[in-house]
Amino acid sequence: MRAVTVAMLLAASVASAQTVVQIKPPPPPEPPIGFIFELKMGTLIPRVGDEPGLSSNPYETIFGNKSMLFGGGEIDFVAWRGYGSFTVGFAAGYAEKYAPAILVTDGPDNGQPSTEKTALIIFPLRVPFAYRFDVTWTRWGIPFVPYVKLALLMTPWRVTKGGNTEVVNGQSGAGLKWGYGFTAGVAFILNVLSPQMAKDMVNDTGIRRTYVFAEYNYDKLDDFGKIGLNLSARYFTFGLGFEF
Amino acid sequence: MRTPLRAGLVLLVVASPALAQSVSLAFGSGSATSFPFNQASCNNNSSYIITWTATGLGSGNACANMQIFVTNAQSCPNSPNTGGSADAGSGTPDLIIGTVDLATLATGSGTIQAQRLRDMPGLGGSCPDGVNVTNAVCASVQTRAVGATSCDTFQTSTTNLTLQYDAKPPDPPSMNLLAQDAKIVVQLGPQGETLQRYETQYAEAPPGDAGPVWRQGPNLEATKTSVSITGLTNGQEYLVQARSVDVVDNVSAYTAPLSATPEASNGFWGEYKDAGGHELGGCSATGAAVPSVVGALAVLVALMRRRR
Repeated sequence: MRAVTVAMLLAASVASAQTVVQIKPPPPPEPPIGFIFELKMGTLIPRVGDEPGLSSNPYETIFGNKSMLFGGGEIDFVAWRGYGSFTVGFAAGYAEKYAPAILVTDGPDNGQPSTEKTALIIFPLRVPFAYRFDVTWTRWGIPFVPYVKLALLMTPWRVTKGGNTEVVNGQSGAGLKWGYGFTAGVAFILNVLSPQMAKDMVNDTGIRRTYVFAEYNYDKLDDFGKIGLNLSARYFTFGLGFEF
Repeated sequence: MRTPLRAGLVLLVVASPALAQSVSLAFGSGSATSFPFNQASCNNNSSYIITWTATGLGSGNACANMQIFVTNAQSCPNSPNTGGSADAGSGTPDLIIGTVDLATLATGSGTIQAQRLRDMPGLGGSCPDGVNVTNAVCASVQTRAVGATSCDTFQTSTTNLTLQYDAKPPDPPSMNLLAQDAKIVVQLGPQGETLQRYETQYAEAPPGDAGPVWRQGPNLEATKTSVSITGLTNGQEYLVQARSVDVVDNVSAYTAPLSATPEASNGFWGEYKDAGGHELGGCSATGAAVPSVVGALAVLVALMRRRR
């Protein structure tokens, strides 16, 4: 009986010695360069009334306090990756606002809405330079990545009335505004929600990270301080990003 | 030894010519299936030409000459009704416009000589006012089924070809006016019939009992719903009237005139300038901005190319 017990103990000890210890391989290193693609949208109200010398805010007069709906996309090149990453890119967007024109008559209709529509249409373009503090994710596994951007802005704009560019005293309501902007935001890395799906996505599509983001934009769009139509705006945008 | 599969294949091959029998018609060499015409075309003795195409028909399966005819019936009958009994509801017998013998039928296609429009059933050689008459152009040939000796089947044309006499003017369009800055937007809509276009006229509202002096306004394709009369004087009352033109150029009466007074308005740009805005518009590229942007884009493109 004792011999049998000893034999069983020996067998158990041999079995336990065969237990495989799995060592989790370290994550592959981040590639030195890459691309980022983002889609974003938001609402904004241009600060037209900030122009010195205006007797009233024409944006408020025509459109009230209603915002322009903005949508756009951005592509960035990851030029450097170290303690965080540095990107340079190009972004393009579109925003518009429609409202009835206002009657200008000597009669009682003066100031009433016309049957004709007027619109302010802008095409914001920017060249953003960004720093992303993504070590929060790559080293610490925290799925929040804060970032800041500095951008050069150029915005073609157009005002229409009745579907055509509005002309007043021979001056056409269309042009191009220049400026600069700051952006601060935070991205939430969606990979954390499903690591396996994230790995499959890398293998199948090359998309290393998918994230949603929210950012605050401070755009100074007044031809670098020149007095004229002021399309500066401070607004939030939200969107979805993919890093390759 | 024939297997059931082989036997079925043989049957299919034998039967396939019968399945492929067909007759189709067309107006001339075109693809239109409808031939509308107005009273003027009728009075001018205008004509139409029918071309026919037959497949799988000949002396082997056709028992008699193919007849091409015009009928008042709603759909093509098996044979033309040329006797005393006219088509139900039409009051007129069918008109045979061509007969194709078996030898010609076997050639597969041909053309019937030109026919006067006014001779179609329902018109009977006249061109009456204010009526619409629609006739179908049909072809029919008596055939025998595969393996049968009796001729008790008919092959009729597969195309639905119609002749449409339209001497009825369309109704005037519905109309609404929108007074805008130095222009009036005229909104027009059809009243029933399919139209070709609308025609507008406008005039300054005359003082007193004087009649308006009408000027031709812009025409509007019937597929669109509004047109603008531009170059008007703000504060001046205008009268506008419009009429419909159908697909065969029948013209309706003008609508009752409506009035509108264009009024000046400010869009955003006008309001901005009235508020004292300094913007002049145009491209106000400043300093080094343009070179900076172009340079940054060039760097971006270069970096992307290097990555490839």
